[in-house]
Amino acid sequence: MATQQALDDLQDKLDNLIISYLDLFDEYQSSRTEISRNFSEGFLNLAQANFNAPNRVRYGQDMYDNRMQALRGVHIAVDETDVTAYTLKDLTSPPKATTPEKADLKPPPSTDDANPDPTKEKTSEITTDQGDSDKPDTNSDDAEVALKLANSKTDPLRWFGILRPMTLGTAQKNFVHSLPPIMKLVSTLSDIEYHEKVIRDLRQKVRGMRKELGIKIDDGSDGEPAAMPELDKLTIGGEKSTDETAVDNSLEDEKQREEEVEKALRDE
Amino acid sequence: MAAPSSYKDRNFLAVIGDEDTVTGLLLAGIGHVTTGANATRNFLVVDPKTEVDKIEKAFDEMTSRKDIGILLINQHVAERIRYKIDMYTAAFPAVLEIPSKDHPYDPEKDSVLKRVKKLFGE
Repeated sequence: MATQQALDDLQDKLDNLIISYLDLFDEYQSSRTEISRNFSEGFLNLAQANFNAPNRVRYGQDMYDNRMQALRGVHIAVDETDVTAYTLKDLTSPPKATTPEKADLKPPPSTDDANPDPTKEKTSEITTDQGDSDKPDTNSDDAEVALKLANSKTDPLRWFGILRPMTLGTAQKNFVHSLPPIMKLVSTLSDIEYHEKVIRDLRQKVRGMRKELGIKIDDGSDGEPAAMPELDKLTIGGEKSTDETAVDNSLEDEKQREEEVEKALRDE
Repeated sequence: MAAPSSYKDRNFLAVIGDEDTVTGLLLAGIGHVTTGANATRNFLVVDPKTEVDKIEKAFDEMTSRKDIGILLINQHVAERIRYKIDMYTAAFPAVLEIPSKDHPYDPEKDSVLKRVKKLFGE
């Protein structure tokens, strides 16, 4: 049995949900802004690199390495409410048991230490930023060494030669920094979808409860604009409303009176 | 709740976009070419001459792959296959529209914003 108290509780719940939904939407927009900023900086640096390129080469698809392997990927975790959390994952340090042959192919760590790569810092920064505990369980030191080695060898910057402009490295940094907000954005999207579903269900319940209690309030919550009272009186095409008929009648009366006056004048 | 088998192997990001977007994201280290006889890429470079059929095919291929977790697509490219994007309802991979050099992010074309407007009756 629906009571006013239950309805109020449900309304409060709905209000709180809408507030958190709007918070999520705010997060969504800030992530969008961050991605747009990183991308535009990246595009600008890439354009500068292309402009300053030796021999007027274009840093594009002609120079991609067709043996490329992903260095960064995604880790997906789904909770009981189907809200999906996406986090950035380092794919350069896979579990040892699955790829033992790769470890044998790696050069000794000393060679890498002798040639420090600027991208190393950035990559380790990204991996520490994510702070997820779901990463493959490897010894942290080993994982760090593996990450550095993999980066020195498979850094995509190497596809573009040795004499590449510095802005190409900056562009890389911009695009790497756009990945965490992308993860955040996709996670927020999943949360937004969940909230939308719950809000719709709750609105349905509230409407049902109002009907039961005989309350007729149009708060526009059902997604339909509130009906305008003056529009209710009018009809489209078919029958005329009472007001319209009254107007028509008064016009006819006036016409009749005018005719009578004219007739009387003619008679005189 | 989605079964873990449906997402646990989804490790890669994929991208469909113009040359600069793809180059930038490949520089970030998301590019992957599978080894083996039928090597597949997780990216497609789209230019104004690229046919819609090719984009659709790449979209279908990437969304049906079991190792892709997120598909990034330029908003202006997504506009070319809008009906396909709107029809796509699967949970994985997630499809995200991103800006490009010549086409900055346009909130008017954002499906999330459209949904929010609808939810609040605008």
